[in-house]
Amino acid sequence: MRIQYRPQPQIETTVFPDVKYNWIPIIPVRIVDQRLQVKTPQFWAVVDTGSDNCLFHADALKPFKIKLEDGIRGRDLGGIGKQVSIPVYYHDVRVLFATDHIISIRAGFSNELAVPGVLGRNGFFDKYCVTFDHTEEPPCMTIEKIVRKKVN
Amino acid sequence: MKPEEYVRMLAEAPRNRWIALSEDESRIVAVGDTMEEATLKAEERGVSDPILALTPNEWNPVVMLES
Repeated sequence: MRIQYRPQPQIETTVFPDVKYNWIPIIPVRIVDQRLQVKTPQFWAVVDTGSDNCLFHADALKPFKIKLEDGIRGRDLGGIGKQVSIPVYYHDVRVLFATDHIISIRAGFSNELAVPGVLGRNGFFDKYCVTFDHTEEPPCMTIEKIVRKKVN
Repeated sequence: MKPEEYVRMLAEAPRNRWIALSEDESRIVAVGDTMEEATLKAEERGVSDPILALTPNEWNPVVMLES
């Protein structure tokens, strides 16, 4: 599947005066239960090779009546800055995107996440091959499911 | 929808809130303090399958997290 990036506001800056907005690789996802009877609304998830794991805002647990703190407490999340880290709890969930793609993953959840979702290396990039193409505008990504034969 | 219009819509949205976009993402139909609140408001306004986003305090350049 080929998905266009979404534009987001860019604060005016003298560093990149010609940049009017940022293009972000986002896909709508939802978290679902085993029978697809309980599910979150669709929400934005950034496709991010820089994230070790898949991460979601803790609000996405509420439809399932799962308590955030009942998950496995992981190491606090940090970015490339030194100062900020946020608590995270891991839960096993199923993520639905593009109508019919479902992945079962262990994902981190936090109330402090600044975005609704992040699709990272463990859980997403180990199942899908993603090509990011910034040579055109709008940029786009191609997402292909990887099917590997089991070797006995 | 042109990128400029889409970006203007996001830039004018309340900050640090959940926003519910219409299915075609052409308009913000509801705002809430939680994903649930924004979703319920969107459904009340006739949008049964909104797309939820979080607005930041400021639309700064993005660097994603590691974990």
